[in-house]
Amino acid sequence: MKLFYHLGRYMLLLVTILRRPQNAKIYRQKIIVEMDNLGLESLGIVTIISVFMGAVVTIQTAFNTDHPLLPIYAVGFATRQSIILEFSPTIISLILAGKVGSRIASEIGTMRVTEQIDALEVMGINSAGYLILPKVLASMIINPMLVIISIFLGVFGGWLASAFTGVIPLSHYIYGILFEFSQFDIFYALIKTVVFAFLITSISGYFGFYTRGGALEVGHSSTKAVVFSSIYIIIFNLILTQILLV
Amino acid sequence: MISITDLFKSFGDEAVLKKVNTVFDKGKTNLIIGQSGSGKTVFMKCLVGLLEPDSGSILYDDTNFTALTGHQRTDIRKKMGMLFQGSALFDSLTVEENVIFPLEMFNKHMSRKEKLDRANFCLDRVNIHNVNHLYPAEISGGMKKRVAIARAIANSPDYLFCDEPNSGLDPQTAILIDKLISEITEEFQMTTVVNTHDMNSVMEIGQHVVFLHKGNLWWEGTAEEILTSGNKEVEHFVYASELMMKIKNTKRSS
Repeated sequence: MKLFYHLGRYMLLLVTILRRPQNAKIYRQKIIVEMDNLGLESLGIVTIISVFMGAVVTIQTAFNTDHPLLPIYAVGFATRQSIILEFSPTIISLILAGKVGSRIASEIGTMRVTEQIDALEVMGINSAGYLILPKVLASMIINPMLVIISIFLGVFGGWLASAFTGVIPLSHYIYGILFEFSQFDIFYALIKTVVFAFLITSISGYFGFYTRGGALEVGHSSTKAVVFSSIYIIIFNLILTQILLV
Repeated sequence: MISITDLFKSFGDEAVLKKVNTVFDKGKTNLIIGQSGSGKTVFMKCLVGLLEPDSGSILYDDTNFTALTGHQRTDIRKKMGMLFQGSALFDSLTVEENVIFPLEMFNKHMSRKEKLDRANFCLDRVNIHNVNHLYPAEISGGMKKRVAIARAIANSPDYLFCDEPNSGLDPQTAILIDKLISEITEEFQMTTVVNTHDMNSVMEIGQHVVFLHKGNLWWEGTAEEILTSGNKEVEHFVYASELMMKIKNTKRSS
């Protein structure tokens, strides 16, 4: 029953968030700031993880597909497909759920327990909309850009692995990553990313906004935000894959 | 003016406000006092719309606030300013940005310079100087309260609410804050409601005092009258400190 309680309250929060902003100019400025806070500040971790994961995927694929019937370029092909279809949109989103989700929940939760949200309400400001909507929109804009960068860096990581470890010849790797490329795969990855960005920011915003108590509860909200964002990313990953690929 | 009629609020089976009736006049400093758990905070939260009363009405001049929905309340809320117990300044904004914030949100036709001038006027009025570009974490508790007052009056409100404005302050700063609240109430002709359990504040600025006891409006009158109320619960509260007892004894002997 508690699931329905939270689901209902989450839906009501979404309705409140989507009300017309009191001052569109301020919201636009906040979106830019949030794109920096939530997106650009995550560029470092996205870069490191993408390059190393791309390299690891290439090496593992090369070792596990060592069969005379499989062409060598299949390693490059498999690396590209793994990165575009699953690694960049899903794994990067899960990492962002940890980094961005906890940040959003603790920021809004602290504002709640220190009465800053009450202050916004008394001023006549739609506090949920003011605090959560710019974060949701900023993430839905910046996360696809992060994922595109992650795809390039992942494939580049595979190239580095091929070049420096010699698991497969570079020419085969390059042939593999270009082999039967479908633009729809990128489209699919971006759709997933946008949905995941919405889930991460709205779920984390929800847990932060309804924090009650003090510092301990802010910590709890932050943990819940990460856990539930991750669970819903996994569930929606399955649903979207079924809808878009099958 | 704020008129409260039969205000009732409960949490589950526990009634926290039991049909409270009173009127807070314009240009006066109205104090809500009472022991912890008497319903002061719930009363104030109902007044500003942070809690919904179960029944009764709150009239802001001629407008029935309780009959309005959340969205419709915005116009009245624009006329409210509130000083929170913990100041509730926005951590991510500087002192100046905090004061400009309500102007930015609602005064689209004001130029940037006009907003800055207004913010500086408000900061000047509460004697805050040279800290415009500091963050709330970088200033003292007393300064935070004064900045919060400046933010509360930035939009020229008709109604000012102060929730325990003296909590956590040294006696000298507490008196300064009290005096400031009293002065700006008279200067800007606001209806001010102060929630406190500090008897110094009552004696210093209480033009109209409302005493809550177990959710009931037990007594109301002026600060002078409270010393001779003859009401047992009020006397227990008023003369809880030795200082107040001395004042009482001095009055009697004189």
